[in-house]
Amino acid sequence: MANLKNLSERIKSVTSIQQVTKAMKMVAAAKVKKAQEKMEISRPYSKSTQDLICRILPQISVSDISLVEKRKVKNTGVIVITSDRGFAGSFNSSVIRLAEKEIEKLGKDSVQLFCLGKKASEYFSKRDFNVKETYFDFWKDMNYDTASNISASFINSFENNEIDEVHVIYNRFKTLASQDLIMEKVLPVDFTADYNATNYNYDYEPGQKEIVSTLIPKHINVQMWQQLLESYSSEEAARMIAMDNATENAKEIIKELKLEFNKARQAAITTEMLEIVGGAEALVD
Amino acid sequence: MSKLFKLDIVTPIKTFSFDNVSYVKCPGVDGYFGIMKNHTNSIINLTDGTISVKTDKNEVKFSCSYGIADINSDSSDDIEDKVLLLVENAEELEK
Repeated sequence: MANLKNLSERIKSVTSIQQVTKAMKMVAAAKVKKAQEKMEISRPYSKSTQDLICRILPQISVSDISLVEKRKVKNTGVIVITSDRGFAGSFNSSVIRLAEKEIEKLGKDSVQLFCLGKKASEYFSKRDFNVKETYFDFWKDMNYDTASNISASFINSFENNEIDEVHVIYNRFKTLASQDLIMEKVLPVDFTADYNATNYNYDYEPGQKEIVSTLIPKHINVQMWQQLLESYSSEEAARMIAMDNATENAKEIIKELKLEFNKARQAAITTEMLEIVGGAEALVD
Repeated sequence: MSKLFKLDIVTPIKTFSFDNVSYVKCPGVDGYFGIMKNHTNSIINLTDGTISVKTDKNEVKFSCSYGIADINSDSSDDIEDKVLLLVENAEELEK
């Protein structure tokens, strides 16, 4: 009889796990949708900023602007974007794996790390990497200032010549079921200057150079913001898929356990009946 | 000819669009300036302050942080008349 009790307890616990994973899946689905909306909204700003820069850039000499100028690369900054929480399949581990590979390639000592999200922060801090800054616990109430703060910090390092190039590694949202793992260069900024843009008479105030110098940090901010959103959407999408799989698996297990439970119950009934019949027969004899 | 023009106030988290604007006052780096139809094409840095938008019906005010104004409303060329205000932060003010 112990077996029967055991089985029914296991069924109960798997069922409650299934309920939790189902709930987490639904929460993640709602969050993906919100993050996607935010991504859509930020696009016009990002596009207009880039357009403006590309329009003005051909008219000035690039070497005046520090954030565009290419320098000989001695030290590299790498920004790794992960999440604070797990339960999202291979979302974090794949980012960390790629980051480690790239850092190996660049040389561990010449890389300064900016870790976003608890997962990367913990992983790289424990392993004796050059971690310059860590940011976490911001995902829940992430706003545009978060992105500005992060980019301000690496722009600062870049301008102080501490690092000569900045790359970012993150998951880009593709579809709900898949993300692209991407490494992108953020600094120095590459622009394909639009030489074809017809130059109408424009008044510039204060001057073209000043305008571009204020626009480029903005462009980097909004890029950072979009990368954060991409990563956040990917995280929630990955979590949604992971939780969906978990729910499916739980369903499978429940089915198997129920079958086993019914078999055990049937066996118990059969034994009981055999005992009764056996007892009755013994009486008759 | 109509004296109205289009205006977009674009921020990373929201976009405000107006179709029939008669006058906009913006906080430029060298002080407030106004934009009306046929303003000369300009790109101007903005600083913290208040943007007032006068449409054909009412007046709306926004507080904004630093940004940039891209004005395309010169009638002498063939670009579409439009004023674009790119700001990091814009919040509609209570009337």
